Amino acid sequence: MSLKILEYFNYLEHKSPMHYIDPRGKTLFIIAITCLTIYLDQIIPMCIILVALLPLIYFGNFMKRWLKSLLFLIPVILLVVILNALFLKIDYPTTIAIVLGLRLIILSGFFGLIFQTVSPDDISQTLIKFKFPYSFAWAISTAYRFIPTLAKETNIIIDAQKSRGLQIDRGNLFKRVRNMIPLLIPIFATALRRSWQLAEAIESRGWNATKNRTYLYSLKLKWWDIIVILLSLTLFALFLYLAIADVSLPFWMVYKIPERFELKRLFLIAWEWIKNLFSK
Amino acid sequence: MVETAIKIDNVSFKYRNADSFALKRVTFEVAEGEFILLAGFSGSGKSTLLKCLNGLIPHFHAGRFGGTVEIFGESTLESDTPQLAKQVGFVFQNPENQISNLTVEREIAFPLENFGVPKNEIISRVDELVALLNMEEIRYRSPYSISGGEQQLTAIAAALALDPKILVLDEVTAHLSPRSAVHILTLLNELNKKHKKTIIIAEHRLDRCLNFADKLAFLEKGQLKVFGDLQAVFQSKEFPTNMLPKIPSLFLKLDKKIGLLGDKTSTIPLTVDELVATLNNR
Ligand SMILES: Nc1ncnc2c1ncn2[C@@H]1O[C@H](COP(=O)(O)OP(=O)(O)OP(=O)(O)O)[C@@H](O)[C@H]1O
Ligand SMILES: [Mg+2]
Repeated sequence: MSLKILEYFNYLEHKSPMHYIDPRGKTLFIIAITCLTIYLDQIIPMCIILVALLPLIYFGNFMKRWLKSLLFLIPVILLVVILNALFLKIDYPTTIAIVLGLRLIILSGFFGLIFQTVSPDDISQTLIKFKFPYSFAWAISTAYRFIPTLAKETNIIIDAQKSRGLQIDRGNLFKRVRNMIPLLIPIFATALRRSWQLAEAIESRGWNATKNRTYLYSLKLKWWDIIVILLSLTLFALFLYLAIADVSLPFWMVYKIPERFELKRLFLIAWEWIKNLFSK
Repeated sequence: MVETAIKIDNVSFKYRNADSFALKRVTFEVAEGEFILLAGFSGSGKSTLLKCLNGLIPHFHAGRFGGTVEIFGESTLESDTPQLAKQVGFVFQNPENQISNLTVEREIAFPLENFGVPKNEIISRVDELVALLNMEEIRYRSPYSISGGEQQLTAIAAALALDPKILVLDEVTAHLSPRSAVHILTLLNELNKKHKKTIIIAEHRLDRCLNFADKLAFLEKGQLKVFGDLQAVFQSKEFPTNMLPKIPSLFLKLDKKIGLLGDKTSTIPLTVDELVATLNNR
């Protein structure tokens, strides 16, 4: 089993410029972008968003990881695109299918980027700003932050159990699941012990000493955050305008894959050709 | 006159889900400014005893608690853990599981934040501690990317943040390399001598502490077997010979074989220099 996916959650110590943007601004931005991406159904606007995404990903130090994750996503996306192009019962199914694929790529990029550049601390600070109790915010950031540690420990436990002869990746699905039980018990036990020790530690550091807790750092909007927020609001307004006023896009933004290149047609032609090949 | 920092009187404790008492009628006193070693085999109750000092027992761990623990004359029963945190700094054995903040600096600031200390005071206090413990290089690092020794250093800094007079450490060098262990112990000596912190530490590496520890307490199965200055403890029949540090152990073995210790009242050498001196004076 692969724990690589947990790396995704790893809090980066080396900050990229994207890290310095206020998480509230980033949240607004992703909401606006998601709405727009889902509303628009033309290839050209999708490509524009994709091109706009690239510099952000670059400045977020996310390019390598994103491309890596795309390596796994592309086969899935291709499958989705092909099935949609073949079976959608609308006009221009190939166009819509391609839009769908682009949408998945774009959203994976944006959400990955946000995940990557919002530190667990940002999350808890945001919660505090929205008047959540501190203990709740603390729990969130601590849980998030312990994920890499947990991954490391899980690997150690897997190695230990393997060296005792446990076979994890053998047998059918049912057997594999049953093989996980010897892993879950020690994992659960260490997690439980950790939570006790952590509780003792914070108790010894004056946890809950006063209701009026202070903070060494708290979120403050900088000038660039204001720009991000204004930009997000503009994008959101654009989305509302397009959705409510139901305007049609400028003609240069509308491009449809011509009938001749419809995937279904190409498939049928290929099918006929193969049939002819064998009937001879 | 030196004040009594810690007064433990007839303390017993049984964890709620345990069958036997982890501490049985333990009594001793620690004067302000002393450096106390706490020794005992695994499961003898060292951690349990230390947790009585900052109120984790009986406030955090449920169970049957008897006797009294007084910190500067005030019973822990009448106080709560946050108040005790100001008087007793606690450092735990496992470096990783006691750090709950994202950077070293924040971990140090955490107790001050908990007490609502104004931001500018937090900053100056953190500056102070970072300078004191020489932590400039790791100040902004994540606690998960630094070494175990540096993690313990962070924990010590956090324990010192509220400027407690007493520092309690539970086998803090157990997970460390010998070199980091010596570094930490040297630092503790400095905190004790220069900054007048009263220190009580559970420690396996007795050898490393002989030249600065004042007293030693030995626990066995929850009972305090011996307590006193190092000489008295090492000469006591109650102290197991296999726990003796190297030099005293060597000396006593030699003494048994060839009778180095002429009359029974003379002292046991603790360091190489003392051993040489004793041998020369024979
Ligand atoms: N939370 C707990 N619940 C129940 N029993 C406990 C708990 N913690 C410790 N004990 C028991 O109390 C006794 C003393 O344990 P303690 O941890 O104080 O020993 P120790 O001297 O610190 O040992 P070690 O050197 O292994 O840390 C042991 O028998 C232990 O099993
Ligand atoms: Mg212990």
